[in-house]
Amino acid sequence: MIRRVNEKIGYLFVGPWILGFVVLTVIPTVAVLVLGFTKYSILEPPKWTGLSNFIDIFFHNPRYWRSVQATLYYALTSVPLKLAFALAVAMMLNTGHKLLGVYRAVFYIPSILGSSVAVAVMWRQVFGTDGLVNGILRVLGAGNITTSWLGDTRTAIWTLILLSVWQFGSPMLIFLAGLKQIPTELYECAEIDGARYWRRFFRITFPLLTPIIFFNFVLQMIFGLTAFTQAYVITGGAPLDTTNFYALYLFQKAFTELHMGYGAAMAFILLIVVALFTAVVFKSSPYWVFYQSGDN
Amino acid sequence: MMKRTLVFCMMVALTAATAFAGGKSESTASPNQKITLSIAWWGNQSINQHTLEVLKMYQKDHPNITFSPQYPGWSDYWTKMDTLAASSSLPDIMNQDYAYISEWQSRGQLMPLDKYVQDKTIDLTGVAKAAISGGIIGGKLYAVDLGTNALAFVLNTDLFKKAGVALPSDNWTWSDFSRIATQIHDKLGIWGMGYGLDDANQWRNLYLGTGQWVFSADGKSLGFPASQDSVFVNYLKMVKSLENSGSIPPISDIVAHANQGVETRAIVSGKSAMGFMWSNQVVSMWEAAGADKNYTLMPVPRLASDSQSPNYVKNSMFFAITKDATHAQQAAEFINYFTNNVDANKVLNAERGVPISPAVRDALKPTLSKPIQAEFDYVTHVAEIGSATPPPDPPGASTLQWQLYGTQVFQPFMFGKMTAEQAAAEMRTLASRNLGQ
Repeated sequence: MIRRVNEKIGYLFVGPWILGFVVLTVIPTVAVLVLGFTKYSILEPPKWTGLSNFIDIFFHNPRYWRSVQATLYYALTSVPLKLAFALAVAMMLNTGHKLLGVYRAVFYIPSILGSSVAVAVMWRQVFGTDGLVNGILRVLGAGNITTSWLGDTRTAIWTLILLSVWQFGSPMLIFLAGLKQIPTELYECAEIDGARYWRRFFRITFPLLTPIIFFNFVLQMIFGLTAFTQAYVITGGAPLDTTNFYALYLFQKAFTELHMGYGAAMAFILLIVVALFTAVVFKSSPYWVFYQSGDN
Repeated sequence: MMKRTLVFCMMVALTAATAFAGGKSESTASPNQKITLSIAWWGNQSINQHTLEVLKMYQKDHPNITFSPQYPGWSDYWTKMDTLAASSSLPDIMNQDYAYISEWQSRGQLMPLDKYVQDKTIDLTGVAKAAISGGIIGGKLYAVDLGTNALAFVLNTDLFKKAGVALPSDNWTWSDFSRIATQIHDKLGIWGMGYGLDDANQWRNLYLGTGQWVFSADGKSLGFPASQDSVFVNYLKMVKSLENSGSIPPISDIVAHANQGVETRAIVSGKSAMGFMWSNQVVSMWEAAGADKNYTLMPVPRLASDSQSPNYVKNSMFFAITKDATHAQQAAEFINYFTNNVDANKVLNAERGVPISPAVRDALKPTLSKPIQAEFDYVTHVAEIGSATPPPDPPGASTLQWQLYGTQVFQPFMFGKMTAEQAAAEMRTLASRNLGQ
């Protein structure tokens, strides 16, 4: 009797979450999958068009592939850079600084604020023709430099990569926690055996950090592949589609050009790609991730 | 036992609240019942402030009405409205634009207003036909014009004097423009012209000046033959040579400034001597630059000094009542107030264009500041010398002009990825693919 009442209360506790999950996540996801097969302008009801959206995406739309290229370039550049930076700073902080807590907080703040619109607007300013970067360069003697970093086809995407790398604080904290879990006896043994710093790093630190690296890598890649806000506010996909990230192009197609079905088809493809990527990384993990519990 | 029951009830309530949160309240209004009018517009800081003031004024006179306003910036406005249209929760009153109105009307999103005009709920006596006709589609009126407008080149007369360059005449040509921009750059070291040459309006104006229109009558393709692409080609080549001589900002700078507010234009900070904008934007621009500056407005340059004027009087923007409106009568009354009330228009300061009501215009004239006087005079002038207003843009034209022209035609050309001829051909291809969709 009491167990049944407990169960009932359990279900009621989960009730709001389940309702939210179904209504706000499951149903829209299914709707998007279905809308990918329609032509839908949002001002009129959808019309079934079968595979025509997908055919256009894959075979008739060079802008789509440019967008894929831009997204991959962004993700595959910013994620390794960000993780390398995070690990490096975590290792430096792990030497037992007195002000460790302060540094941790300071480095973490960009992570919290970074994906906000306010920071994106500020970033526009910083890299503008009269912005902070040019101001500093002028002080350092670069003459009357007025490069528009955001409008130059070679540098625009790097302003976004830099913004992503600037938010290294979040993976850094996770690396710090991981570093603290490595037993110090291992280092002491290695020192006694005469191993130098980099040897210790590659033989002890790195392998034992692979679970964390794995976690951070998957998470950050997903963020990278689905990046939107920064591209939307800072560059708008310009110049020449070099920063026209997948999620941004999808948004333009769906909301600005009123081709919702097309955007839904793109979303469908993105979902599959991200799922496949995650599955591949997970499947490959036994070969390079070492858990201290001794599974491998 | 009591505690268990209490927790049980709370959980049920919480779940119920999640399920039923956010419902829309509907009511048919009786004259003194409290109603909320939802209204949406786009604007800048100044326009938003003044409009909110007018809403407050109206609420004071009509204590049973409260407004629920929203005012995204231009680039977000249509995204927001599309989303609301999909969920059938459009505001009672929405801002509309010439470029989008036929699309919205053709999909049944707007309510016809003729009955309100006929019974004088919306009083349009004395309003010029040109000011009303923009909102008429298929013989029915769907939107009331909030002001007339025209494209203008803005010239900083102080900088012209400093450079010793004479102001051009009214029927100046693109070669005059090019020469002047270069001269000013040579004399003063600043840009002769600011960011506006990438605007798709230039493309439209070029062809209007040849006596043709950019869109065909059936709205499915370009309105001029391929043999006329040379007009556009020559324009692109002119822009490139101006960039090469440093008389206009480099393309990377132009790209970085796209879609930013008028306050960020080069002419505001004095980085250029000329700018390009709608006549109603001149007021905000002048305020941002400083009331002590001196500007004059010039019509868009022609192809030759005797060719047709590329200028026309445009309905700057409209108010329309949407199909989701729950209080259409009160909405119509408010639109009438907005159009005809002198005090309201004194606050609004003609920032949306020259008011269409002749009584309002006359009442405002004595109080006009320098910028607004300039705007009024210019629009009146264009009404005299300009061409007839072109028809509203066909469906698909907004994507073509405001999304694709910049990223697929103008920018690739300026970045050297395409020749001018290829750019013109690409425009033609994009048009046939997007128009009439």
